[in-house]
Amino acid sequence: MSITVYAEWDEAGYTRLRRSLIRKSAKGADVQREFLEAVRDTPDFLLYMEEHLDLREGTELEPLAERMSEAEFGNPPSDTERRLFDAWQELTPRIACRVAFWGRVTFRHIEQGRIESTFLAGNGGGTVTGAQRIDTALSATGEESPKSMDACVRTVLRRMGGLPEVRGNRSVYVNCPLARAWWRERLVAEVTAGEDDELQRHIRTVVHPESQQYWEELVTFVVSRNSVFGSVEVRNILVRTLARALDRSPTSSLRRATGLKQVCRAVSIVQASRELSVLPYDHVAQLMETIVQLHSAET
Amino acid sequence: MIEVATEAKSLNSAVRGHAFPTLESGNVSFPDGRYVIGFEPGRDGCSFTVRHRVEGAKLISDAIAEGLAQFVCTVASPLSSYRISHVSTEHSQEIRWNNDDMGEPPMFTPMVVVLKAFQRKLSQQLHGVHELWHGRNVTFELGTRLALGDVVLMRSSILNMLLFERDLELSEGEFRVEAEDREGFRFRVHLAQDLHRFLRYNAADQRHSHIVTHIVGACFGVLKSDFSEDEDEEGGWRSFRGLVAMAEMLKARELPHWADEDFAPELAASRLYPHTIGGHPDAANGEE
Repeated sequence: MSITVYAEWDEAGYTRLRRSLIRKSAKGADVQREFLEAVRDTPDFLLYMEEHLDLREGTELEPLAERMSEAEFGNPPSDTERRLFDAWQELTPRIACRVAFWGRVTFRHIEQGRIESTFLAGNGGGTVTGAQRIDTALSATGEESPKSMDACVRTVLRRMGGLPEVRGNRSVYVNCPLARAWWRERLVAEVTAGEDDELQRHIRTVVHPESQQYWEELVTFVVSRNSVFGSVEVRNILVRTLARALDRSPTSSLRRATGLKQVCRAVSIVQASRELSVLPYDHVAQLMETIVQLHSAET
Repeated sequence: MIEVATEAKSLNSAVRGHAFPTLESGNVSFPDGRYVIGFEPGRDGCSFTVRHRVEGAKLISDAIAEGLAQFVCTVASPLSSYRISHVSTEHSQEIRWNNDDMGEPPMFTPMVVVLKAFQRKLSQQLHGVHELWHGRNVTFELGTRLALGDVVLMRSSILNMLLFERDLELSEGEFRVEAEDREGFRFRVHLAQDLHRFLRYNAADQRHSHIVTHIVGACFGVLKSDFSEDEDEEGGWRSFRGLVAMAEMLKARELPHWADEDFAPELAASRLYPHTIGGHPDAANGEE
Protein backbone atom coordinates (compact mmCIF):
# COMPACT_ATOMS: atom_id res chain seq x y z
CA MET A 1 0.00 0.00 0.00
CA SER A 2 1.44 3.35 -0.95
CA ILE A 3 1.35 6.17 1.57
CA THR A 4 0.63 9.65 0.29
CA VAL A 5 3.15 12.19 1.49
CA TYR A 6 1.42 15.57 1.56
CA ALA A 7 3.21 18.83 1.01
CA GLU A 8 3.55 20.94 4.12
CA TRP A 9 5.76 23.70 5.45
CA ASP A 10 9.05 22.56 6.87
CA GLU A 11 7.94 21.95 10.45
CA ALA A 12 11.04 23.28 12.21
CA GLY A 13 11.10 26.44 10.07
CA TYR A 14 7.39 27.09 10.52
CA THR A 15 7.67 26.66 14.29
CA ARG A 16 10.64 29.06 14.34
CA LEU A 17 8.66 31.63 12.33
CA ARG A 18 5.67 31.46 14.70
CA ARG A 19 7.90 31.73 17.75
CA SER A 20 9.82 34.69 16.31
CA LEU A 21 6.54 36.51 15.68
CA ILE A 22 5.01 36.02 19.11
CA ARG A 23 8.02 36.39 21.40
CA LYS A 24 7.86 39.24 23.90
CA SER A 25 10.48 41.34 22.14
CA ALA A 26 8.51 41.11 18.87
CA LYS A 27 5.42 42.77 20.35
CA GLY A 28 4.85 45.87 18.23
CA ALA A 29 8.33 45.58 16.74
CA ASP A 30 9.39 45.69 13.08
CA VAL A 31 9.14 41.93 12.73
CA GLN A 32 5.39 42.03 13.48
CA ARG A 33 4.88 45.18 11.38
CA GLU A 34 6.60 43.58 8.38
CA PHE A 35 4.47 40.45 8.75
CA LEU A 36 1.18 42.35 9.01
CA GLU A 37 2.07 44.56 6.06
CA ALA A 38 2.60 41.39 4.05
CA VAL A 39 -0.70 39.86 5.19
CA ARG A 40 -2.47 43.08 4.13
CA ASP A 41 -1.71 42.36 0.50
CA THR A 42 -2.12 38.85 -0.91
CA PRO A 43 0.84 38.89 -3.39
CA ASP A 44 3.13 40.25 -0.63
CA PHE A 45 1.92 37.58 1.73
CA LEU A 46 2.68 34.80 -0.75
CA LEU A 47 6.15 36.21 -1.26
CA TYR A 48 6.75 36.60 2.48
CA MET A 49 5.82 33.01 3.23
CA GLU A 50 7.88 31.59 0.39
CA GLU A 51 10.88 33.66 1.44
CA HIS A 52 10.65 32.64 5.07
CA LEU A 53 9.66 28.98 4.80
CA ASP A 54 10.91 25.88 3.08
CA LEU A 55 8.47 23.42 1.64
CA ARG A 56 8.46 19.76 2.56
CA GLU A 57 7.58 18.48 -0.85
CA GLY A 58 4.76 16.07 -1.50
CA THR A 59 1.27 15.93 -2.94
CA GLU A 60 -0.49 19.27 -2.56
CA LEU A 61 -3.98 18.97 -1.14
CA GLU A 62 -6.36 20.31 -3.76
CA PRO A 63 -8.01 23.54 -2.53
CA LEU A 64 -11.79 23.81 -2.56
CA ALA A 65 -13.13 24.63 -6.00
CA GLU A 66 -15.15 27.70 -5.02
CA ARG A 67 -14.02 31.04 -3.75
CA MET A 68 -15.06 31.70 -0.15
CA SER A 69 -16.30 34.94 1.35
CA GLU A 70 -14.59 36.24 4.46
CA ALA A 71 -17.56 35.27 6.64
CA GLU A 72 -17.73 31.79 5.09
CA PHE A 73 -14.03 31.20 5.68
CA GLY A 74 -14.11 32.45 9.27
CA ASN A 75 -17.12 30.42 10.24
CA PRO A 76 -18.03 27.94 7.50
CA PRO A 77 -21.67 26.86 7.47
CA SER A 78 -22.33 23.22 8.11
CA ASP A 79 -22.83 22.35 4.43
CA THR A 80 -19.49 23.95 3.50
CA GLU A 81 -17.79 21.89 6.19
CA ARG A 82 -19.43 18.75 4.81
CA ARG A 83 -18.30 19.60 1.29
CA LEU A 84 -14.80 20.22 2.53
CA PHE A 85 -14.64 16.92 4.40
CA ASP A 86 -16.03 15.01 1.44
CA ALA A 87 -13.37 16.52 -0.79
CA TRP A 88 -10.57 15.70 1.65
CA GLN A 89 -11.75 12.35 2.93
CA GLU A 90 -8.48 10.70 2.07
CA LEU A 91 -6.65 12.65 4.76
CA THR A 92 -5.67 10.67 7.82
CA PRO A 93 -5.60 11.88 11.44
CA ARG A 94 -1.79 11.59 11.38
CA ILE A 95 -1.70 14.38 8.77
CA ALA A 96 -4.77 16.31 9.88
CA CYS A 97 -3.36 17.08 13.33
CA ARG A 98 -0.30 18.83 11.84
CA VAL A 99 -0.02 22.59 12.07
CA ALA A 100 2.58 22.70 9.28
CA PHE A 101 0.18 20.83 6.98
CA TRP A 102 -2.83 23.12 7.54
CA GLY A 103 -0.57 26.17 7.32
CA ARG A 104 0.34 25.03 3.82
CA VAL A 105 -3.28 24.20 2.89
CA THR A 106 -4.43 27.67 3.95
CA PHE A 107 -1.55 29.21 2.01
CA ARG A 108 -2.62 27.27 -1.09
CA HIS A 109 -6.17 28.57 -0.75
CA ILE A 110 -4.76 32.09 -0.78
CA GLU A 111 -2.41 31.29 -3.64
CA GLN A 112 -5.26 29.84 -5.73
CA GLY A 113 -7.49 32.84 -5.06
CA ARG A 114 -10.05 30.97 -2.93
CA ILE A 115 -9.53 33.36 0.00
CA GLU A 116 -7.63 36.60 0.60
CA SER A 117 -4.73 36.73 3.03
CA THR A 118 -6.50 39.47 4.99
CA PHE A 119 -9.23 36.95 5.93
CA LEU A 120 -6.71 35.46 8.32
CA ALA A 121 -6.82 38.57 10.47
CA GLY A 122 -10.61 38.50 10.92
CA ASN A 123 -11.62 37.78 14.45
CA GLY A 124 -14.81 35.78 14.40
CA GLY A 125 -18.15 37.53 13.99
CA GLY A 126 -18.74 41.26 13.98
CA THR A 127 -18.58 43.72 11.18
CA VAL A 128 -14.85 44.51 11.23
CA THR A 129 -13.01 42.78 8.40
CA GLY A 130 -9.52 41.34 8.65
CA ALA A 131 -8.18 44.13 6.42
CA GLN A 132 -9.68 46.73 8.73
CA ARG A 133 -8.19 45.04 11.77
CA ILE A 134 -4.74 45.08 10.17
CA ASP A 135 -5.11 48.73 9.20
CA THR A 136 -6.17 49.65 12.72
CA ALA A 137 -3.24 47.72 14.20
CA LEU A 138 -0.70 49.26 11.85
CA SER A 139 -1.94 52.79 12.36
CA ALA A 140 -2.39 52.60 16.12
CA THR A 141 -0.17 54.85 18.18
CA GLY A 142 1.00 54.97 21.77
CA GLU A 143 0.47 52.13 24.20
CA GLU A 144 -2.26 50.52 22.07
CA SER A 145 0.00 49.96 19.10
CA PRO A 146 2.09 46.97 20.27
CA LYS A 147 -0.96 45.35 21.85
CA SER A 148 -3.16 45.52 18.78
CA MET A 149 -0.33 44.46 16.44
CA ASP A 150 0.42 41.48 18.63
CA ALA A 151 -3.24 40.46 18.84
CA CYS A 152 -3.57 40.72 15.06
CA VAL A 153 -0.44 38.64 14.40
CA ARG A 154 -1.65 35.93 16.74
CA THR A 155 -5.03 35.81 15.04
CA VAL A 156 -3.37 35.35 11.65
CA LEU A 157 -1.15 32.53 12.94
CA ARG A 158 -4.06 30.83 14.70
CA ARG A 159 -6.23 30.87 11.60
CA MET A 160 -3.46 29.82 9.25
CA GLY A 161 -2.83 26.45 10.89
CA GLY A 162 -3.10 26.85 14.64
CA LEU A 163 -0.86 28.32 17.31
CA PRO A 164 0.09 25.44 19.62
CA GLU A 165 2.75 27.53 21.37
CA VAL A 166 -0.04 29.52 23.00
CA ARG A 167 -3.15 27.38 22.74
CA GLY A 168 -1.73 23.87 23.02
CA ASN A 169 -2.51 20.85 20.89
CA ARG A 170 -6.17 21.73 20.54
CA SER A 171 -5.28 24.84 18.52
CA VAL A 172 -5.33 23.05 15.18
CA TYR A 173 -8.80 21.66 15.97
CA VAL A 174 -10.34 24.92 17.10
CA ASN A 175 -8.52 27.89 15.52
CA CYS A 176 -7.78 26.98 11.91
CA PRO A 177 -11.17 27.10 10.10
CA LEU A 178 -10.21 24.53 7.45
CA ALA A 179 -8.81 22.06 9.97
CA ARG A 180 -11.72 22.64 12.32
CA ALA A 181 -14.18 21.83 9.57
CA TRP A 182 -12.37 18.60 8.74
CA TRP A 183 -12.22 17.43 12.35
CA ARG A 184 -15.84 18.29 13.02
CA GLU A 185 -17.08 16.30 10.07
CA ARG A 186 -14.74 13.44 10.89
CA LEU A 187 -16.29 13.33 14.33
CA VAL A 188 -19.75 13.21 12.73
CA ALA A 189 -18.60 10.34 10.50
CA GLU A 190 -17.08 8.44 13.42
CA VAL A 191 -20.04 8.90 15.74
CA THR A 192 -22.69 7.99 13.19
CA ALA A 193 -20.65 5.26 11.49
CA GLY A 194 -22.62 5.60 8.26
CA GLU A 195 -26.04 5.63 9.93
CA ASP A 196 -29.00 7.64 8.72
CA ASP A 197 -29.11 11.32 7.82
CA GLU A 198 -31.34 12.18 10.75
CA LEU A 199 -28.78 10.96 13.23
CA GLN A 200 -26.10 12.94 11.38
CA ARG A 201 -28.25 16.04 11.67
CA HIS A 202 -28.61 15.54 15.43
CA ILE A 203 -24.89 14.96 15.85
CA ARG A 204 -24.11 18.16 13.97
CA THR A 205 -26.00 20.16 16.59
CA VAL A 206 -23.33 18.98 19.02
CA VAL A 207 -20.18 19.18 16.90
CA HIS A 208 -21.19 22.24 14.91
CA PRO A 209 -22.60 24.40 17.68
CA GLU A 210 -23.45 28.05 17.47
CA SER A 211 -20.78 28.86 20.01
CA GLN A 212 -17.08 28.38 19.37
CA GLN A 213 -16.61 27.91 23.11
CA TYR A 214 -18.82 24.80 23.00
CA TRP A 215 -16.64 23.18 20.35
CA GLU A 216 -13.53 24.14 22.31
CA GLU A 217 -14.88 22.45 25.44
CA LEU A 218 -15.63 19.30 23.48
CA VAL A 219 -12.18 19.27 21.91
CA THR A 220 -10.49 19.84 25.25
CA PHE A 221 -12.02 16.65 26.53
CA VAL A 222 -11.24 14.74 23.38
CA VAL A 223 -7.70 15.87 22.59
CA SER A 224 -6.19 16.77 25.92
CA ARG A 225 -3.28 14.60 27.03
CA ASN A 226 -5.01 14.30 30.39
CA SER A 227 -8.34 13.46 28.86
CA VAL A 228 -10.11 10.87 30.91
CA PHE A 229 -12.26 9.63 28.05
CA GLY A 230 -10.93 6.12 27.91
CA SER A 231 -11.61 5.56 24.29
CA VAL A 232 -13.11 6.71 21.05
CA GLU A 233 -16.18 4.55 21.74
CA VAL A 234 -16.92 6.28 25.04
CA ARG A 235 -16.62 9.66 23.36
CA ASN A 236 -18.93 8.56 20.55
CA ILE A 237 -21.59 7.30 22.92
CA LEU A 238 -21.48 10.57 24.86
CA VAL A 239 -21.87 12.66 21.70
CA ARG A 240 -24.81 10.48 20.55
CA THR A 241 -26.50 10.81 23.93
CA LEU A 242 -26.00 14.58 23.94
CA ALA A 243 -27.37 14.84 20.41
CA ARG A 244 -30.52 12.92 21.31
CA ALA A 245 -31.01 15.04 24.44
CA LEU A 246 -30.68 18.27 22.44
CA ASP A 247 -33.13 16.98 19.87
CA ARG A 248 -35.67 16.18 22.60
CA SER A 249 -35.30 19.55 24.30
CA PRO A 250 -33.76 22.22 22.10
CA THR A 251 -33.69 24.75 24.94
CA SER A 252 -31.79 22.47 27.31
CA SER A 253 -28.93 23.90 29.33
CA LEU A 254 -26.76 21.29 27.62
CA ARG A 255 -26.69 23.52 24.56
CA ARG A 256 -24.41 25.87 26.45
CA ALA A 257 -20.69 25.30 26.97
CA THR A 258 -21.11 25.32 30.75
CA GLY A 259 -23.69 22.52 30.47
CA LEU A 260 -21.37 20.45 28.32
CA LYS A 261 -18.53 21.03 30.76
CA GLN A 262 -20.62 19.71 33.65
CA VAL A 263 -21.49 16.56 31.74
CA CYS A 264 -17.88 15.96 30.72
CA ARG A 265 -16.72 16.41 34.29
CA ALA A 266 -19.32 13.95 35.52
CA VAL A 267 -18.11 11.39 32.96
CA SER A 268 -14.53 12.08 34.06
CA ILE A 269 -15.38 11.31 37.68
CA VAL A 270 -16.82 7.91 36.77
CA GLN A 271 -13.96 7.14 34.39
CA ALA A 272 -11.42 8.01 37.09
CA SER A 273 -12.34 4.88 39.02
CA ARG A 274 -13.82 2.65 36.32
CA GLU A 275 -12.51 1.87 32.87
CA LEU A 276 -15.54 2.64 30.74
CA SER A 277 -13.89 1.77 27.46
CA VAL A 278 -14.10 -1.98 28.04
CA LEU A 279 -17.70 -2.08 29.21
CA PRO A 280 -20.57 -3.28 26.98
CA TYR A 281 -22.11 -0.61 24.75
CA ASP A 282 -25.51 -0.73 26.48
CA HIS A 283 -23.95 -0.32 29.89
CA VAL A 284 -22.02 2.82 28.86
CA ALA A 285 -25.02 4.18 26.95
CA GLN A 286 -27.22 3.80 30.04
CA LEU A 287 -24.60 5.54 32.17
CA MET A 288 -24.30 8.44 29.72
CA GLU A 289 -28.09 8.79 29.55
CA THR A 290 -28.23 9.05 33.35
CA ILE A 291 -25.45 11.66 33.46
CA VAL A 292 -26.94 13.73 30.63
CA GLN A 293 -30.41 13.70 32.20
CA LEU A 294 -28.97 14.66 35.55
CA HIS A 295 -27.30 17.74 34.14
CA SER A 296 -30.00 18.77 31.74
CA ALA A 297 -32.27 21.61 32.72
CA GLU A 298 -34.78 23.61 30.68
CA THR A 299 -33.82 27.23 30.23
CA MET B 1 12.03 -6.99 26.10
CA ILE B 2 11.73 -3.76 28.06
CA GLU B 3 10.16 -4.04 31.51
CA VAL B 4 8.36 -1.35 33.44
CA ALA B 5 7.35 -2.10 37.03
CA THR B 6 4.64 -0.29 38.95
CA GLU B 7 5.13 -0.65 42.68
CA ALA B 8 2.91 0.39 45.52
CA LYS B 9 5.91 1.79 47.40
CA SER B 10 6.98 4.13 44.60
CA LEU B 11 5.85 7.74 44.93
CA ASN B 12 3.37 9.32 42.63
CA SER B 13 1.70 12.68 42.90
CA ALA B 14 -1.51 11.32 41.40
CA VAL B 15 -2.55 9.03 44.22
CA ARG B 16 -6.32 8.78 44.42
CA GLY B 17 -8.72 7.48 46.97
CA HIS B 18 -10.91 4.60 45.84
CA ALA B 19 -13.60 2.50 47.42
CA PHE B 20 -11.58 -0.59 46.49
CA PRO B 21 -7.90 -1.59 46.68
CA THR B 22 -5.84 -0.85 43.59
CA LEU B 23 -2.26 -1.68 42.69
CA GLU B 24 -0.81 1.56 41.34
CA SER B 25 2.15 3.84 42.04
CA GLY B 26 2.03 5.27 45.53
CA ASN B 27 -1.15 3.41 46.58
CA VAL B 28 -0.55 1.30 49.70
CA SER B 29 -3.51 -1.04 49.11
CA PHE B 30 -1.16 -3.87 48.13
CA PRO B 31 2.03 -3.21 50.17
CA ASP B 32 4.07 -5.93 48.41
CA GLY B 33 2.38 -5.60 45.07
CA ARG B 34 4.26 -5.25 41.78
CA TYR B 35 2.71 -4.89 38.35
CA VAL B 36 5.41 -5.63 35.83
CA ILE B 37 4.90 -4.90 32.15
CA GLY B 38 7.20 -6.23 29.45
CA PHE B 39 7.17 -4.52 26.05
CA GLU B 40 8.55 -6.13 22.92
CA PRO B 41 8.34 -3.85 19.88
CA GLY B 42 7.27 -5.55 16.66
CA ARG B 43 9.55 -5.27 13.64
CA ASP B 44 6.77 -3.64 11.58
CA GLY B 45 6.80 -0.43 13.63
CA CYS B 46 3.08 -0.66 14.36
CA SER B 47 2.76 -3.43 16.90
CA PHE B 48 3.86 -4.39 20.36
CA THR B 49 3.71 -7.50 22.46
CA VAL B 50 2.78 -6.58 26.01
CA ARG B 51 3.34 -9.08 28.82
CA HIS B 52 1.49 -8.44 32.07
CA ARG B 53 2.73 -9.92 35.36
CA VAL B 54 1.17 -9.29 38.78
CA GLU B 55 3.19 -10.17 41.89
CA GLY B 56 2.41 -9.91 45.59
CA ALA B 57 -1.28 -9.12 45.08
CA LYS B 58 -3.17 -12.38 45.42
CA LEU B 59 -6.59 -10.76 45.13
CA ILE B 60 -5.71 -9.62 41.62
CA SER B 61 -3.99 -12.85 40.59
CA ASP B 62 -7.01 -14.84 41.76
CA ALA B 63 -9.47 -12.56 39.97
CA ILE B 64 -7.53 -13.10 36.72
CA ALA B 65 -7.35 -16.87 37.26
CA GLU B 66 -11.09 -17.04 37.96
CA GLY B 67 -11.91 -15.08 34.81
CA LEU B 68 -13.30 -12.13 36.76
CA ALA B 69 -10.66 -9.70 35.56
CA GLN B 70 -8.76 -9.30 32.30
CA PHE B 71 -5.73 -7.51 30.95
CA VAL B 72 -6.25 -4.24 29.15
CA CYS B 73 -3.85 -1.99 27.33
CA THR B 74 -4.97 1.40 26.09
CA VAL B 75 -3.16 2.83 23.09
CA ALA B 76 -3.45 6.57 22.74
CA SER B 77 -2.28 9.43 20.58
CA PRO B 78 -4.01 12.49 22.07
CA LEU B 79 -2.69 14.76 19.33
CA SER B 80 -4.83 12.94 16.76
CA SER B 81 -7.63 12.13 19.26
CA TYR B 82 -6.97 8.39 19.16
CA ARG B 83 -7.69 6.11 22.10
CA ILE B 84 -8.44 2.42 21.79
CA SER B 85 -8.49 -0.18 24.57
CA HIS B 86 -7.36 -3.72 23.83
CA VAL B 87 -8.63 -6.51 26.09
CA SER B 88 -7.00 -9.90 26.60
CA THR B 89 -7.48 -12.96 28.76
CA GLU B 90 -3.84 -13.94 28.15
CA HIS B 91 -0.83 -12.56 30.00
CA SER B 92 0.82 -11.94 26.67
CA GLN B 93 -1.08 -9.57 24.45
CA GLU B 94 -0.29 -8.47 20.93
CA ILE B 95 -1.36 -4.93 20.15
CA ARG B 96 -1.49 -3.47 16.67
CA TRP B 97 -2.34 -0.03 15.43
CA ASN B 98 -2.43 1.90 12.20
CA ASN B 99 0.28 4.53 11.97
CA ASP B 100 -2.09 6.70 9.92
CA ASP B 101 -4.11 7.24 13.11
CA MET B 102 -1.16 8.40 15.15
CA GLY B 103 -0.15 12.02 15.40
CA GLU B 104 2.77 11.12 17.67
CA PRO B 105 4.44 7.98 19.05
CA PRO B 106 1.67 6.09 20.84
CA MET B 107 1.25 6.04 24.59
CA PHE B 108 0.37 2.78 26.34
CA THR B 109 -1.51 2.40 29.60
CA PRO B 110 -1.61 -1.19 30.89
CA MET B 111 -4.13 -2.26 33.49
CA VAL B 112 -6.09 -5.16 34.96
CA VAL B 113 -9.84 -4.53 34.85
CA VAL B 114 -12.85 -6.30 36.37
CA LEU B 115 -15.11 -7.65 33.64
CA LYS B 116 -17.41 -9.68 35.90
CA ALA B 117 -18.51 -7.93 39.06
CA PHE B 118 -17.68 -9.71 42.32
CA GLN B 119 -17.61 -9.26 46.08
CA ARG B 120 -14.94 -10.21 48.61
CA LYS B 121 -14.44 -9.95 52.32
CA LEU B 122 -10.81 -8.84 52.21
CA SER B 123 -8.09 -10.50 54.19
CA GLN B 124 -4.54 -9.27 54.68
CA GLN B 125 -3.16 -12.82 54.56
CA LEU B 126 -5.33 -14.30 51.81
CA HIS B 127 -5.43 -11.34 49.43
CA GLY B 128 -2.21 -9.42 50.10
CA VAL B 129 -4.05 -6.19 50.91
CA HIS B 130 -2.98 -3.60 53.47
CA GLU B 131 -4.39 -4.00 56.97
CA LEU B 132 -6.57 -0.94 56.31
CA TRP B 133 -8.66 -3.16 54.04
CA HIS B 134 -8.59 -6.21 56.30
CA GLY B 135 -12.07 -7.48 57.14
CA ARG B 136 -13.87 -5.09 54.82
CA ASN B 137 -16.55 -6.25 52.43
CA VAL B 138 -15.85 -4.74 49.03
CA THR B 139 -17.83 -4.89 45.80
CA PHE B 140 -15.73 -4.82 42.63
CA GLU B 141 -17.93 -3.38 39.96
CA LEU B 142 -17.65 -3.86 36.24
CA GLY B 143 -14.79 -1.72 34.94
CA THR B 144 -12.94 -1.44 38.26
CA ARG B 145 -9.20 -1.08 37.70
CA LEU B 146 -7.48 -3.59 39.99
CA ALA B 147 -4.02 -2.66 38.73
CA LEU B 148 -2.93 0.39 36.79
CA GLY B 149 0.53 0.63 35.25
CA ASP B 150 2.43 3.78 34.49
CA VAL B 151 1.90 5.33 31.06
CA VAL B 152 4.61 4.20 28.68
CA LEU B 153 5.57 6.37 25.75
CA MET B 154 6.97 4.55 22.74
CA ARG B 155 10.19 6.52 22.46
CA SER B 156 12.61 3.86 23.56
CA SER B 157 13.48 2.90 20.01
CA ILE B 158 16.52 4.84 18.89
CA LEU B 159 14.71 5.70 15.66
CA ASN B 160 12.26 7.75 17.72
CA MET B 161 15.16 9.75 19.11
CA LEU B 162 16.45 10.88 15.74
CA LEU B 163 15.73 14.42 14.69
CA PHE B 164 16.59 14.89 11.02
CA GLU B 165 17.67 18.37 10.06
CA ARG B 166 18.87 19.73 6.75
CA ASP B 167 22.31 21.36 6.99
CA LEU B 168 23.25 23.48 4.00
CA GLU B 169 26.87 23.60 5.14
CA LEU B 170 27.31 19.91 4.47
CA SER B 171 28.28 18.69 1.03
CA GLU B 172 26.34 16.04 -0.89
CA GLY B 173 26.07 12.73 0.93
CA GLU B 174 27.49 14.02 4.23
CA PHE B 175 25.97 13.81 7.68
CA ARG B 176 26.96 14.27 11.31
CA VAL B 177 25.16 13.62 14.61
CA GLU B 178 25.16 15.38 17.93
CA ALA B 179 23.45 14.60 21.21
CA GLU B 180 20.82 17.01 22.42
CA ASP B 181 19.69 16.73 26.02
CA ARG B 182 17.79 19.90 26.78
CA GLU B 183 14.25 18.48 26.64
CA GLY B 184 14.59 14.75 26.96
CA PHE B 185 17.31 13.05 24.98
CA ARG B 186 17.54 13.15 21.20
CA PHE B 187 20.09 12.93 18.45
CA ARG B 188 20.12 15.85 16.08
CA VAL B 189 21.14 14.42 12.72
CA HIS B 190 22.54 17.08 10.41
CA LEU B 191 22.08 15.98 6.82
CA ALA B 192 23.23 17.33 3.50
CA GLN B 193 20.30 18.44 1.37
CA ASP B 194 20.29 15.37 -0.87
CA LEU B 195 20.40 12.95 2.06
CA HIS B 196 17.70 14.89 3.90
CA ARG B 197 15.39 14.68 0.93
CA PHE B 198 16.17 11.03 0.29
CA LEU B 199 15.47 9.94 3.87
CA ARG B 200 12.15 11.79 3.94
CA TYR B 201 10.68 10.44 0.76
CA ASN B 202 12.28 7.10 0.05
CA ALA B 203 11.54 4.94 3.05
CA ALA B 204 10.85 1.96 0.80
CA ASP B 205 14.22 2.19 -0.95
CA GLN B 206 16.69 -0.36 0.41
CA ARG B 207 19.45 2.25 0.57
CA HIS B 208 17.29 4.03 3.14
CA SER B 209 17.75 1.25 5.70
CA HIS B 210 21.53 1.10 5.09
CA ILE B 211 21.84 4.84 5.71
CA VAL B 212 19.72 4.58 8.85
CA THR B 213 21.92 1.77 10.15
CA HIS B 214 24.96 3.97 9.51
CA ILE B 215 23.33 6.90 11.36
CA VAL B 216 22.34 4.70 14.30
CA GLY B 217 25.96 3.46 14.47
CA ALA B 218 27.16 7.06 14.60
CA CYS B 219 24.65 7.82 17.39
CA PHE B 220 25.91 4.89 19.41
CA GLY B 221 29.42 6.23 18.79
CA VAL B 222 28.41 9.54 20.37
CA LEU B 223 26.98 7.70 23.38
CA LYS B 224 30.20 5.73 23.75
CA SER B 225 32.47 8.78 23.57
CA ASP B 226 30.38 11.25 25.55
CA PHE B 227 28.10 9.28 27.86
CA SER B 228 30.07 6.25 28.97
CA GLU B 229 31.59 7.61 32.17
CA ASP B 230 28.96 9.75 33.78
CA GLU B 231 26.13 7.35 34.43
CA ASP B 232 25.80 8.16 38.14
CA GLU B 233 26.11 11.90 37.87
CA GLU B 234 23.17 14.23 37.55
CA GLY B 235 22.60 14.85 33.86
CA GLY B 236 24.28 11.53 33.07
CA TRP B 237 22.65 9.05 30.75
CA ARG B 238 20.62 7.43 33.51
CA SER B 239 18.72 10.71 33.91
CA PHE B 240 17.09 10.09 30.53
CA ARG B 241 14.30 7.54 30.52
CA GLY B 242 14.71 6.87 26.81
CA LEU B 243 18.38 5.99 27.22
CA VAL B 244 17.68 3.75 30.21
CA ALA B 245 15.06 1.90 28.15
CA MET B 246 17.48 1.65 25.23
CA ALA B 247 20.22 0.21 27.45
CA GLU B 248 17.73 -2.39 28.65
CA MET B 249 16.73 -3.18 25.10
CA LEU B 250 20.39 -3.74 24.13
CA LYS B 251 20.77 -6.00 27.14
CA ALA B 252 17.73 -7.97 26.02
CA ARG B 253 19.41 -8.44 22.63
CA GLU B 254 22.50 -9.70 24.49
CA LEU B 255 24.52 -6.64 23.61
CA PRO B 256 26.62 -4.50 25.94
CA HIS B 257 25.74 -0.80 26.17
CA TRP B 258 27.83 2.35 25.84
CA ALA B 259 29.09 2.30 29.44
CA ASP B 260 30.53 -1.21 28.93
CA GLU B 261 34.10 -1.58 27.75
CA ASP B 262 33.30 -4.01 24.96
CA PHE B 263 30.52 -1.90 23.43
CA ALA B 264 30.90 -1.78 19.65
CA PRO B 265 28.63 0.91 18.13
CA GLU B 266 28.64 -0.65 14.66
CA LEU B 267 27.70 -4.08 16.00
CA ALA B 268 24.84 -2.68 18.11
CA ALA B 269 23.50 -0.72 15.13
CA SER B 270 23.71 -3.62 12.71
CA ARG B 271 22.24 -6.05 15.27
CA LEU B 272 19.20 -3.81 15.70
CA TYR B 273 18.98 -2.86 12.03
CA PRO B 274 20.87 -5.49 10.04
CA HIS B 275 22.04 -4.75 6.51
CA THR B 276 20.06 -7.04 4.24
CA ILE B 277 21.45 -7.47 0.76
CA GLY B 278 19.10 -7.80 -2.21
CA GLY B 279 16.15 -8.26 0.07
CA HIS B 280 17.27 -11.72 1.19
CA PRO B 281 19.81 -12.39 3.93
CA ASP B 282 21.40 -15.29 1.96
CA ALA B 283 22.10 -13.03 -0.99
CA ALA B 284 25.18 -11.73 0.80
CA ASN B 285 26.69 -15.19 0.50
CA GLY B 286 25.86 -15.49 -3.17
CA GLU B 287 23.25 -18.16 -2.46
CA GLU B 288 20.22 -16.38 -3.87
